[in-house]
Amino acid sequence: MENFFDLVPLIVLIPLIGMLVNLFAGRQIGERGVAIVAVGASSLAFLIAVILWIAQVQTGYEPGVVDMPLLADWISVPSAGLRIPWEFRVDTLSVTMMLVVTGVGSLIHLYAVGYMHGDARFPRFFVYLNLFLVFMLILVTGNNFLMMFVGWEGVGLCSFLLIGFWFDKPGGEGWKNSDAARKAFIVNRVGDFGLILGMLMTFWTFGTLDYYKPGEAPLAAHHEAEAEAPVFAPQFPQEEHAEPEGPLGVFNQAQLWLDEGGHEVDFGLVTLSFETTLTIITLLFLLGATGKSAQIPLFVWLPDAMAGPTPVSALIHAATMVTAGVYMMVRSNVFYEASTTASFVVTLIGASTAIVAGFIAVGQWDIKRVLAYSTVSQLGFMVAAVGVGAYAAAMFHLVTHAFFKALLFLGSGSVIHGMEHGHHHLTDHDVEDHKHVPPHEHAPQVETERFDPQDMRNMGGLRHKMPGTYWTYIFGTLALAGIIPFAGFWSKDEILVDALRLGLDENRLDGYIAFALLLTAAAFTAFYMWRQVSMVFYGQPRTPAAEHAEESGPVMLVPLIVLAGLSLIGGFMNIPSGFPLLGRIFGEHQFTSWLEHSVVNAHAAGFLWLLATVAVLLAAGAIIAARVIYNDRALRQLTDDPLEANERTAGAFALANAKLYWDEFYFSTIVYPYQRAARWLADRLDWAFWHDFVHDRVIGSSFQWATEMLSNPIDRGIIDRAFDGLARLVHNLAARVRTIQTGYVRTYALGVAFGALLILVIALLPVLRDLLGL
Amino acid sequence: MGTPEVAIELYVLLSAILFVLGAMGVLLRRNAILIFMSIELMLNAANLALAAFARQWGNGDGQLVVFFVMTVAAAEVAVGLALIVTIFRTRQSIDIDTLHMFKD
Amino acid sequence: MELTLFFIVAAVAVAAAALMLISENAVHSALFLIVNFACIAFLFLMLHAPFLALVQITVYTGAIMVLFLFVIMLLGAERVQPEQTPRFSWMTPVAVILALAFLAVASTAIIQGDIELTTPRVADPQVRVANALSGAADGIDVYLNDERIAQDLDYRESTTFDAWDAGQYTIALYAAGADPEADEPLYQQPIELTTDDVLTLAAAGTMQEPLVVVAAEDMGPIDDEDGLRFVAINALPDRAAIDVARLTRGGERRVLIEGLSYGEASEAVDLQTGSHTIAVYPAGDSNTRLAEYEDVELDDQTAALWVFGYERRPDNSWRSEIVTFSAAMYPAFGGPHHVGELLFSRYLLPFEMVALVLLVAMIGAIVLTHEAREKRQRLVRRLANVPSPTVEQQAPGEAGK
Repeated sequence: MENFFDLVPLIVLIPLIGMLVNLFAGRQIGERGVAIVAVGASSLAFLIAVILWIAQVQTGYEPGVVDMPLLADWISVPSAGLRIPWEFRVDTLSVTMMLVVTGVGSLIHLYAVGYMHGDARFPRFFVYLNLFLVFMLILVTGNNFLMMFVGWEGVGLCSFLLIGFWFDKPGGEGWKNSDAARKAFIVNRVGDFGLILGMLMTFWTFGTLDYYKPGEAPLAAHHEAEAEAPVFAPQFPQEEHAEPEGPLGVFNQAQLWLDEGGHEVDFGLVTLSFETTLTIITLLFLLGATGKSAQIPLFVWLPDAMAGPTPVSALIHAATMVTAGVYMMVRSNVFYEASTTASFVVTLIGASTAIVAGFIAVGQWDIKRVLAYSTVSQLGFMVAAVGVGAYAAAMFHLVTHAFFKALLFLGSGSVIHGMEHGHHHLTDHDVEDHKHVPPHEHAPQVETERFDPQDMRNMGGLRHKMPGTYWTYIFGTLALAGIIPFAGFWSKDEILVDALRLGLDENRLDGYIAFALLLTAAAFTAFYMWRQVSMVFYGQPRTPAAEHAEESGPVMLVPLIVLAGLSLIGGFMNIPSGFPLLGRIFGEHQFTSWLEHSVVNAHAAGFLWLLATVAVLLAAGAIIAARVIYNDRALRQLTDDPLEANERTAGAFALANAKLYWDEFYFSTIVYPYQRAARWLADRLDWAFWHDFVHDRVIGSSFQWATEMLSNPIDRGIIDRAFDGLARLVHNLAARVRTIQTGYVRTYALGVAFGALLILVIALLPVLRDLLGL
Repeated sequence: MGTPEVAIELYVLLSAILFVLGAMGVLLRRNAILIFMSIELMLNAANLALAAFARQWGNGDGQLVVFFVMTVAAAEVAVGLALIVTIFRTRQSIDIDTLHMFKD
Repeated sequence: MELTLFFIVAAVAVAAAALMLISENAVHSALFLIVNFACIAFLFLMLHAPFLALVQITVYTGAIMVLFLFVIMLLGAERVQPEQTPRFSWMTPVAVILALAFLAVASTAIIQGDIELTTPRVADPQVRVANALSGAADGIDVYLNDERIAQDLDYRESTTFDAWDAGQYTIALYAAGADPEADEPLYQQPIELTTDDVLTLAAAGTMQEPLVVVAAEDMGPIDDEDGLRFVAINALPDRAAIDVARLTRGGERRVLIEGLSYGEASEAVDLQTGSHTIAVYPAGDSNTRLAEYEDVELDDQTAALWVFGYERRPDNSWRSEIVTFSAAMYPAFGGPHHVGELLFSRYLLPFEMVALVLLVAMIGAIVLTHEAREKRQRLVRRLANVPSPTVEQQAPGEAGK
């Protein structure tokens, strides 16, 4: 079965080929051809991921390293001992990511075929999507940090391209879209800066960037074994921890140094203990993760990124790319496990992101923005899980979140699609009909501004118009809210248990903080999700567009149904121990034990009945509260949110609606001073000093003086004269010589005869010299 | 195959005389056809020298070269006479001194 | 006699050339040139180049000059119309001086004779091995200085001629398959190869008493068409000198070679082709006939080598036998055979290229005479049909200037 590992380059190459085909032949093969190529490529990649999964199971979860024949010495400076091979890693963690990326990716590809139908740049969209798959798969399959970084930057590029995909929308929309794209790109640069520094430090410390060298098995932490071993027992079998021959990958090396203790790293100016080094590295990695995975303080790009087409939001900004940060931290679990400080910071950032984003989501009107903040919030859950050491739970939540958040985004896309359909239906030929519709005095800005199909205030009552979308959306919402037995319940519960256990068992403050914040955030989640469901699907249609909304086609519904099914059963892959019935059917902690083969610090959390009951009750209560507040009567008139109407909650709502003034804060503290500084530098330094003074005065005038010197006396005086004289000489000479060229054959013949005589004389020169006695 | 009765130098000398006569024909005559015939004479003079050398060395190679020279001369005559015919058609003359098309 | 002939022919040739040069009428010139070519053809004959002589007459005096005459008559260009002012009158003395200088330089160089014309041809020695040594079961191996020249050479067989560097060699005979490093040779002796040699190294005698006879062969052409040439070797084991004679039909005895001693090769002797009866006598004794060989048949134009010796019969008795090796003579120098052989061996590629040149010249001649008229007509038509503004402004007749 290990031979099947050699298929792993194909998982990158197939989408690459699909992308190239669509890039060069997209216009020729038409929409249908493009769709077949793109969906086919991603489906084939999924097939390979499944084969690799089976191969993993068959080989007993042996990690495998596969190198690319041509790129074996991808970056190689032999004299410096630097060699970064282009190697793919097949282990349980990377296979998990491959399955998620290609599986959810294929469904979203299929959905996008329907969603993007008729778009002028249909082929280009799928070129970008396939390119994204290529880079995302490089990110998750690479065996070293540099390959991950290549994928990391590549997906960033695709994200930029796809957010700004509709850069040419009329009425200023296009500008907004491209602004959002730039914002995402620039904010990510800050995170990438941290990641690069972290990678450089890693390289300096370990001399390599490989996770593990080929043939190297991940070493488990030593201390657990030691703790269990009796004091006077014979030594721990050396073979198991025996140092493999040759250099080690970073993680095993780190594990060995940690076990030995007292290792120091020399950074030239300072010498740091190995633990401190790891803390710095992990904090820098965390900065990278906050950029890519949209955590405080760099989460601001993700809500704006909703400017891209909805499949993009589902694929890149919910299911896959934004989880790259979590993947990276889980991959580096050895580092994070070693550093308590870093773990504390990670926990704090994750938990506070979860609650802040959950709070903001409550105050949003835009259907996709709500989901975007929800994504940020859920990513906060995952990051917090990493912080509390629940790596398996973080990955578990990553997977289930990919299911239901992709489902919700695709569902919202279906809603938007239906709304736009209704709007077009209206403006095209139902102008009279428009008058029959009772005037909606509160329908915001419909008459004055462009119709916004994403504004939830324009919707309502879509339950009857779009039943398929409605039911799948409900599945996604319940999963996200954490209602048993949907997928979100299991993964969220595991994170909460892990956080609480950290607090209870090890008496760690961050465990308690994380638990409290995450539990609250979970309640917020249920609340804003049901608020959204109520506003979109319940009540009566509030605009003519909503009145005429139509269900989407089967191409879009099939992925929704598949994802809804996954949202329902996806959690069963990791039933906690001690759960009745289900645990016996599906096995306990399947996912965790699967991950343990590659994530050495993964461990299974138990199951706490009390906690689970509290969490479910809290979620259910939040749902009921939302339904009560957003009842049918309140939904009929929706200029103001009911929370806004209530004096006690008005202030909080305004705060949430204004996104806690986070963007404004960044604008006034960073962007505005930066712009002022840039303007000052441009005006003063560049224009006034550099251009006017240095260039014009100093360089310009001295150059002119020099050229004047060169041109008049030297060029004209000496060089020109010399060449003029030469030319005149040649001219005169030529005038003389020209007469030889008569055009008469006989004169030429004479010349030839003369030449022949000359040659004869030269050839016979020795003979003639003897003869004449010379 | 003993030593030839007539010294080879005599043949070569005769060849040189004929060659010079041919060369003078080329230089002095204005009739294009005559110039051509003079060139043939020169070729024949060279052939004579080659045959004499072949005799001297007892080697067939010289005679083969003579044979090839004859063949090429035949080709040259065919093309040359075709040229002369063409020139005569256009200019109604084969006086070489009236032709100076090379100049322009 | 030959010298006189040469001077007469040369005088005619020069006179014809000079007359060609000064004839006003082109037809006369052409006729004089024919005379000249005929003389050169005659000289070719004298230079042992009969083939070239005939080609000269057919191709040059025949085909080419006819072509000249034809063109002259076709164009009516016997005379060039005299021009009012000869353009290059200064050229005549210059050309004459130049020609005289050329002649002077060339003839002095030729006459004083130091241009290495007379260095004789140097050819590497040609060597072959012939086996007339009766009794070796699988034949013999022959080595010249450790280099094998013949392998498993059977009785009555010979190798072809190979070129060797001149110098001292040791020839050694071994039984077939013997190792020259380990085994003793059957026989060895030093020989010297000099340039221009054509040698047959004949192994002869008996196994008890082998010997190698070096026979110099003359492969030069035989004037008599039915003639052949042979060299005899005496390897009769009684070691006496012999006479070799031919017996005519009438029983007359014509002595061919006298006093050929044991182990020696005779001079080359010419003989008529046919079936001969050859008899061997002790030297000077015409009464005792040692051996007689009837019906010895030989082809014409071959060089034969006769080895007189004893052959071992299957019943181990011995019998007097004559072993003949023959080789084709070199073809007569300059004859059609000789030229043809060279053409089809060493000069095949140049020959084909020349043929190609001829073909191209033929096509070229057709194209030249044909295309020119065509083009002019087209040009005229174009000028007539599509007047360009510049052409239109010009008066007709000015256009050419």
